[in-house]
Order: sequence, then structure tokens, then C-alpha cells
Amino acid sequence: MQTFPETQRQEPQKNEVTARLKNFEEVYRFFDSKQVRRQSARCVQCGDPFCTVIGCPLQNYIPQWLEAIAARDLERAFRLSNESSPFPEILGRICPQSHLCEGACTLDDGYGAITIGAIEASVTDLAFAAGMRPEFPGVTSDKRVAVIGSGPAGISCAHFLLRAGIGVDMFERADRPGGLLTYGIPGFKLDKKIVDFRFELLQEAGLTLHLNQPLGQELPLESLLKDYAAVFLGVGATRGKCPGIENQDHPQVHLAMNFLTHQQRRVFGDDWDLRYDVRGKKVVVVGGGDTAMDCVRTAIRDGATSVTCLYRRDQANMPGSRKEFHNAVEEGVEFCFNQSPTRVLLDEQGGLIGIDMLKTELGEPDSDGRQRVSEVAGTEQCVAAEVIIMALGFDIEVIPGLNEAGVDVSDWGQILTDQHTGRTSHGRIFAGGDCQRGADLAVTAAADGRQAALAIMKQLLG
Amino acid sequence: MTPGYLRSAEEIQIKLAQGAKPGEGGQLPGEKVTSLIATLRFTIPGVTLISPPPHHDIYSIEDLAQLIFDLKQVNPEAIISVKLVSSEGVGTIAAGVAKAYADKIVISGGDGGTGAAPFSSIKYAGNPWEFGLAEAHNSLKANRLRELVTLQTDGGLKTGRDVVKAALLGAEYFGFGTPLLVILGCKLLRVCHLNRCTVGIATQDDTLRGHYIGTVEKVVAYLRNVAEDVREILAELGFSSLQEIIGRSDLLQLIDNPRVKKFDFSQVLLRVDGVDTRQRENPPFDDNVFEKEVLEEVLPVIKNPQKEIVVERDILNTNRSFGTLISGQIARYYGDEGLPKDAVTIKLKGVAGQSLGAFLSHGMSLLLTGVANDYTGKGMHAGRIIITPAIYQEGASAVGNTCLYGATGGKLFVAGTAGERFAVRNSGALAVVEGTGDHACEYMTGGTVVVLGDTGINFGAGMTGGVAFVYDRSKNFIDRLNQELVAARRIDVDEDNEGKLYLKKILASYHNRTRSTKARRILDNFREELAYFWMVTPKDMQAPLNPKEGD
Ligand SMILES: Cc1cc2nc3c(=O)[nH]c(=O)nc-3n(C[C@H](O)[C@H](O)[C@H](O)COP(=O)(O)OP(=O)(O)OC[C@H]3O[C@@H](n4cnc5c(N)ncnc54)[C@H](O)[C@@H]3O)c2cc1C
Ligand code: SF4
Repeated sequence: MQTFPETQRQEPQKNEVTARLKNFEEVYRFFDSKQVRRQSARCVQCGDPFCTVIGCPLQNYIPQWLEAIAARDLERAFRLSNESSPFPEILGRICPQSHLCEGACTLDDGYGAITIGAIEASVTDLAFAAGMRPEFPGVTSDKRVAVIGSGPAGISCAHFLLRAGIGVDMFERADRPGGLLTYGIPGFKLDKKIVDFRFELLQEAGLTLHLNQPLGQELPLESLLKDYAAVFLGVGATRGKCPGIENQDHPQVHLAMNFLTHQQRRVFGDDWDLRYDVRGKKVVVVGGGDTAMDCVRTAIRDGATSVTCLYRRDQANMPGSRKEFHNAVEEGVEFCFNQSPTRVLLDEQGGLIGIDMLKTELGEPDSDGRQRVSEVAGTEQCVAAEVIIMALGFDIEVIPGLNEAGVDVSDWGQILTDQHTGRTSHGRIFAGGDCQRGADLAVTAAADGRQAALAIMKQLLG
Repeated sequence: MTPGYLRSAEEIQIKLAQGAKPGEGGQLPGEKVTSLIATLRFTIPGVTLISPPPHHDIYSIEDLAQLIFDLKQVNPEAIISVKLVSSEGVGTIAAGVAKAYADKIVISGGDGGTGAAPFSSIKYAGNPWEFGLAEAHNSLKANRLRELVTLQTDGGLKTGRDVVKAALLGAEYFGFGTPLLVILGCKLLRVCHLNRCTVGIATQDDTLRGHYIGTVEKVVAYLRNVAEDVREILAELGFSSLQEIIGRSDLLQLIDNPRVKKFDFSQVLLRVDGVDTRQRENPPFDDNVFEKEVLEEVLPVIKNPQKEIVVERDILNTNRSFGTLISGQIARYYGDEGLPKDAVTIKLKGVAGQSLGAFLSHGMSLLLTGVANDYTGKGMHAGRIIITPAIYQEGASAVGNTCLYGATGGKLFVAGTAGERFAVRNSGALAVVEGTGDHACEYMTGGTVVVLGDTGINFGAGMTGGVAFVYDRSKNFIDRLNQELVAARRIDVDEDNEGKLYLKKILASYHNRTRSTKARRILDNFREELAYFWMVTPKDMQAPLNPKEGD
């Protein structure tokens, strides 16, 4: 260990840009067992590991599994890594590590952080390839729990309940499970086979999955409360926001989620709406977060002639993962910083031809510490566009039956829960993930699911 | 310790123990001993340095008094402080230390940091400074000794509140350790022992040191904030200076908490009558007039190093640390370089007191006809001490215990035997004696020791450098050698030219100076007698012999 003065931080290799753009395959090729050892051995093994304590929302045992894998003990590393995380091979791929574990790593100032994410993904990939599997006891309890939504929050809750021998019925509105892991995050960041494999494991462990089953009239919350000892809500927050500008309802102006979902359906070979086809078109994406990055990179893979990203703030203020921005630049996306859209431009026939925008200025920081944005009058400009995609964040949909069941929600529709248990104002209903936090991250959703599962276990098993 | 180093200090601390790891010494792993560190510590790069837990020259309060006396001779201007560990009974020790003429006493608590201690000590050893400080302060007061010494405390002090509390319990000075490191960039990674400190503090590695972000300004800013904090608390208490509250334990109150009720704090909060701060100097009873007179005589030579002088005196065993005051004066002007060889020669007759030639400087020769006491040549740096008993008798004792302790150079020739712990922690001196007691050459890291007679047990324990030659006629040396780190081998008459010549040269020089009949006999039959010598060297290091030393 402690080889950081000699060994440099090495990110996993990426496929060539030209090859990358031809398909939706994962961009990164993760480490083989030799590389993973070399990179892990750089770890300082700090007394108070910042990566675990302040970096990772799951408080993963990072230094411990780094030490294990550096000592060639794949099994110990795999078990340690899967002890606290319900799907380390997924989070290792999609977490914005620069803001989380790797951002907290001692070595991040000046030496290059440990490649925690890539190592985490590689450990479980290598272990799966070697035939190792997480252990589940089988369903041993007579109590069952209903989990609504099959995104990271739901999967995590189900995973930890199953580990305690509690049977889980999972109800999902969509035709495939995984939530945003499946229909939001594109395949070039996360191969869908990886998500499917986790579901296989959970189903073997005793999960019953009910697809195409939305919570609502057919499946009211009350009846679930009758049939199950507890209910976990992990229904996410996927209602796209719009900037509220002229002509934004034009059929060629899409919400990010719809665009990504239909593109993913196309990749799956499922039926999809041709409206979302961007082949041979000029595309403008509005927004600067991770969702925007996914949209631009999806559009460019789908064969758009040009892809431009408009963002209100500057590059330094982009909220998403640095590496995804760099990937987008590599793949040929144009960026227009400090631009705020004002109007969708149509020609006389009503066809979409572009978007008007104003230059912005960054002012004093607001109470959250982010700089305020103001538009500068008289700086109008126009960018040509045939398709516009709005990636401006998400709101929470109204969840049917909550009020009646006595579950309190905030003015923004967020389900209110106890900070330490995820329990709502109804004693047997728990919630977590985006529907409780507002749109956030897969790893925080996973942490919520785990916390709720532990509270449910305590409530049911004592 | 060298005379130049000691002379350069404003304060010299005798660290009897450290609060965070009482009873243990530090360890510097070999990997961290670079050539720079090796020069500073008088050793060879790559050799692990063990700071032994005990002080081999301090077994009693009288020994401590002697060391304080030595230090006050070599540097009369420096404050001599003694660091003690907070524990029950520290009051008695503190009183003893004050009686041993220390200027300052430090009570060290267990919450301080340490980079070099086993987990067991970091986690489970040590006591809060509050107990020890209160006890030391009160016991000094009860014995009317408080006015002679200043009290300092340390061990996890961080805020103004800590400072005020310590002052109320009797401290006049306050030691900060860990928080300053944190201000300089330390992130408490707990890898200090691995030479991998990412912020460049606990490491000798240049790349890592490049990441050091500490500045003096940061430390100053932090301490200013602490002082500001102190001022605010003082104002709240209605005082305008820290001085006014020292020892005012009556101002402290127990908080209302069920856990507090389980303990009896009356001893900590007790306020004994008497002064609460240092009022006057604490000079040793012995003002060393004897050497002061000699110093007057040699001063012209110190001022004009082209000159040479020979002084003759009769000496008594009440004349302690002879040569140290003069060495300190030399170091004051010339540092460790000292004076030219043979600049000052002092011929003595009689029985010398303790610490003859302690911290001896370059250019000094002490030629004693007679015998000397304990600590002869303690910390000697250069020059020579030659001791020839008035009546030579083979095997008779000529110097006491703990001679040459911590010496860094110079030459000690004794035509007689030495006591226990001879040449412990020697790192550069050349010595010839005709026998030793137990534990000779313990923790030695350099230099050469020749013993022309029997040794006691535990020879060479913890010895990581240097070389020893032992003349073993009675064939029992191997049983007395501590073989953990060193090995003894015979010197081959035909092949080991280097060792053979080196030894012969030393013996010739020794005989020349002392006229020892034993040395004469060995030299006369050198080829045969060589077979009775053992050469002892550390197992993991072959020190290059330096035949020039024989001159
Ligand atoms: C394009 C995009 C990219 C992202 N990239 C990243 C990334 O790289 N890294 C990262 O950490 N995070 C990323 N996120 C955020 C992350 O995906 C979410 O924070 C996370 O998926 C939230 O998990 P969840 O389980 O709370 O909700 P979701 O993943 O949204 O899952 C909710 C599930 O509930 C189902 N559901 C909703 N209503 C009902 C109902 N009434 N009945 C039954 N089922 C219902 C939904 O169909 C969905 O399957 C991204 C988000 C988007 C949109
Ligand atoms: S889950 Fe995310 S934050 Fe935690 S260790 Fe893995 S990559 Fe880092």
C-alpha cells in the first residue's frame, strides 16, 4: 500500500471516440486484476478515511476493500464491497466520484485521488466473472414488504430486506425494471445487462417482480397496507421542468426523460415513438447537468448533424460529473456557456428553426452558495435547431393515495420522512430516493433504500 | 547532543517521559533515516534509530540534578526544563525536580498526539494533564518550591478555554502540538511512521515535502485566535490578564452532570496557600568557582585561537562537570568546530568529580593523573580525556558508571576499568578501557570501543552501529554478548588486515598516552594476542573502519 508517490492515478481506458459514436456500448473498459491491484495499492490507508466518512453516501468500506484487492484477495474485496452497497458495480460506474468519494480522498489534492469508482466496478465485475455471488439466506420470515418503484431506491431496499430473509413484492409502472438505471442513464454509461443481472440475483433471492403495475386505481395504497407488513415508496421524480418560454410546446421540443426513454427503447429493439428520432438533425440541448450530458451524447450517437448545449452558468459551475463533460467534449458536442434561452423560433409553416438566447452574468452567491444568474439585455443571439431537448431538472409527480393514507408531503411534493429511518408520517410507509429528496443521485437513493430496509427490519423482526 | 547544539538553545528540555506514551521512547524507522537525518543524529543512513525509554544517566533525582548541572555549565543562559507525565505522585517528583535546580517543569497529559508509538499506548496509556498539573502545582506550593520554577502543561490543548483552565490549575506556560501540525496541513492520516505523509510533514521524501503547505503566518494566526479566545474568557471572568488567574483553582466549578458526580475532584480543585507563580532564579548550590577560575585563565586562547595553553590543577571529587563550562564557552564562539587541536590542555591531579569532560569541545585535552567518577566523557563531542591512575594496577577501577554516555566524538583513554553502562548511545567517540561493567555499548550507533579485559553482561544490546573490540582472555565474552543485533567474530591474523592494523594503531596510541603495561604486553605479542580479540559489529551493517582514528 501507500505506493502513491510512485504510481500515478490511472483512469480506466476509454474506447476511441470514432468507435464510441457508432453505438451505445459502455465507453470505459474497466481494470483487469493487475491494474486494479496497482491502483488500489496507492491508497494511503488513512486513520480516518475521508472517502468513507464524508465522501460516500453509503459509507462504503473503501480502504478495507482497496487493501484486500491489493493483497490479491478478490473474494474478501468483493464481500466487503457488497456488504454496504446493493450494487457496487453499478455505482462504481455512474456515481459522480469527483464530488463524492474521490473528491474526499486525501490524495485528491495534488497526487490524484484513488480511482475508487473504477476499482469498485472492477472488483465486482471480476468477482462475478469468477463465479462469486452475494449471499442471501432465502425468505425466512412470514412478513412481506411491498416496494413501489424499481429504481435504485427500490432495489436497495429490496436487497437489504432479502438479506434479512424478508420477502419482497416489487411493483413497477414501466415494462422493464430499473427506474432511471434502465430508462434514464444511457447504455454508454451503464450497460443494461448489468442492471438485468442484479434483478436476476434478487429474483433468485426471493424477489417477486410485478411489471406494468402502477400504484393507483388498480393497485391502491390502502390494499397494499392490508396485504403487506410495510410499504416502501421509491417512485422517483421524473416530471421534467420547462423554462416557460414561447413555443416550448412545439412537438419537436422534447423533455429529456421522454427523449432518453424512447432512445433506450429503440436500443432495446422495443417499439418507440419516431418523433424522438434525431438522425440528420440539428439538436440543441438546454441545461448543464448530468441529464443534459446524457442527452447530448445520446443525440450524437443517434446521428444528429450537430449537437449544441446551452447552459446558463459557466463551465466551472456545472453541477454534474467532470468526467462526463469531458467525454461529451471529446465526442464533438458544442458548448455555449452563459446563455439563457428566451424563445423557440418557428418558421412560417410552424417548423422549428432555432432558439433565441441572451447572455448571462454571474453575480453574488445566494443562500446556497451558488452564484445568481442575471440576463444581460441587448445580447440576443440565435442558434439554429431542428430539435430542442429540455434538460432542466425534475419535479416529483403527484403520487396517488398518499393524502388519504395520511402521508405528509412538502409544498414541492416531496414525501416527508424521518431523517434516520425513512419512515413517513404513516408508521408502516417508508420512502426514499428522488421522491423524497427531489432529483438527486443513484447512490443517495441506494442509501435511503438501505436505511429504510434496516428500519423496516427492526420494526418487523425486532 | 553536541556542545554547539546545546549552546545554541534558549531552552533545553529533559524529556523524562511523554504524556501520550509514558514509559516509551520514539522510533525512527530506518527508511526515514536519510543522509541528512543521519548527520544530524550521528549515525549511518538507513539504520533504525531507537530512542530508549529510560535515560541511562538518570536513575535518581541526584542523577537528574547532575544532568541539570551539566547543562547549566555548557549553556548558563538556557532555561532547563524537565518534562514529566501527568500521573498520581507526580507532585513528589516535581518537588524533587525543583530541588534538582530545574527552571521549568512541564506536566504532559495523555491526550497529546504522537506519531511514533504503538497503538496500545496511543489508545490506553496516559492521563489527563489536569490531574497532574493540579498535583504538581499544589505539592510545589506546599513545599515552598513553586516560586523557584515555572510550570507548563501540554497534552491536547487546542482552545482558549483549555488555556484558561490550565492557568487556573497553576500553569504559566502552555504547550501546543497537534493543533499546530493541523494548521500546517496535517490531516491526521495516521501514517506518520511510514514515511508517506501526504502533506509533507512527517517525511524526509522530497516529493512529499513538495506538498507541504504550512507557513509561519498560519501558526501565528491560529495562536492569535487562541489568545483572543483567552481574552474574551478573562473579560467574562472579570480579569484583565492571564497572570492574575494562575493557580486560582477556586474559580473552577464542577458542571452539573450525573457522570461528574461519580468522581471526587476535591484534590484537583484544592487550593493550597502560597505563591502561585515563579518569583526567582533556581541556581545550583554549587557555583563552580573552580572551573570559573580556570576559564579566566584560558579565555585569551578562546579569544585568539592561534594560541595554545597548558593549565595545571589539583582536582577534588566535589569539582563536578569539569571542562564543560569551558567547552560551552568555546561552543558559544565556534559552535561544534571548536578550537584547533591541542589549543587547551589541562593537566589534572587527584580524584575528579562527576561528569569530567561532559560535552567536551574540539581543542580540549583533559589529562588526569588519578581517577574519575560517574559520567566521565558524557556527551563528549571532540578533544580527548586521558586518565591514568597514580598507581597503576591491572584490573583496578578508574572511572565510574555511565561514562561516555551519548558521546558524539573525541577520544577517551582510561588505564583502568569502567563501571556499568559504558559507552551507551555512543555515536562517534573512540574509547579504550581495560574492562567494563554490565550493558556496555548499549544502543551504540557509531564510534569505536576497545575493551582490554572482562565485560559485564548484555554487551551491545540494541547496538546498530560502530564497532567494538573485546580482549577476551578468560573466554567468557560470548555469553555476555547480547546477540540480538550484533555479531562477534575473530580477527584473522593473515586476512583481516584492516581490522588488525586499525586495532594495533589504537593500542599504540593508547599505550603512548597512558603507559598501560597491559597494552604494552599485548602489543609486544600482537600476533598471538590478536587471537583473543573479538570484533563486534551490527549484523545488518558493516561500518567502514577509519584507521585515521588511531592517531
Ligand atoms: C438522464 C439521467 C441521468 C442520470 N445520471 C446519473 C448518474 O450518472 N449518476 C447518478 O448517481 N445519478 C444519475 N441520475 C439520477 C439518478 O438516476 C436518480 O437519482 C435515481 O435513479 C433515483 O432513484 P429512485 O429509485 O429514487 O427513482 P427512479 O430511478 O426514478 O425510479 C423510480 C421508479 O418508480 C417507478 N414509478 C414511478 N411512479 C410509479 C407508480 N405510481 N407506480 C409504480 N412505479 C412507479 C418509475 O417507473 C421508476 O422505475 C440521472 C438521472 C437522469 C434522469
Ligand atoms: S458508491 Fe459512489 S461514492 Fe460510494 S464508493 Fe462507490 S463510487 Fe464512491
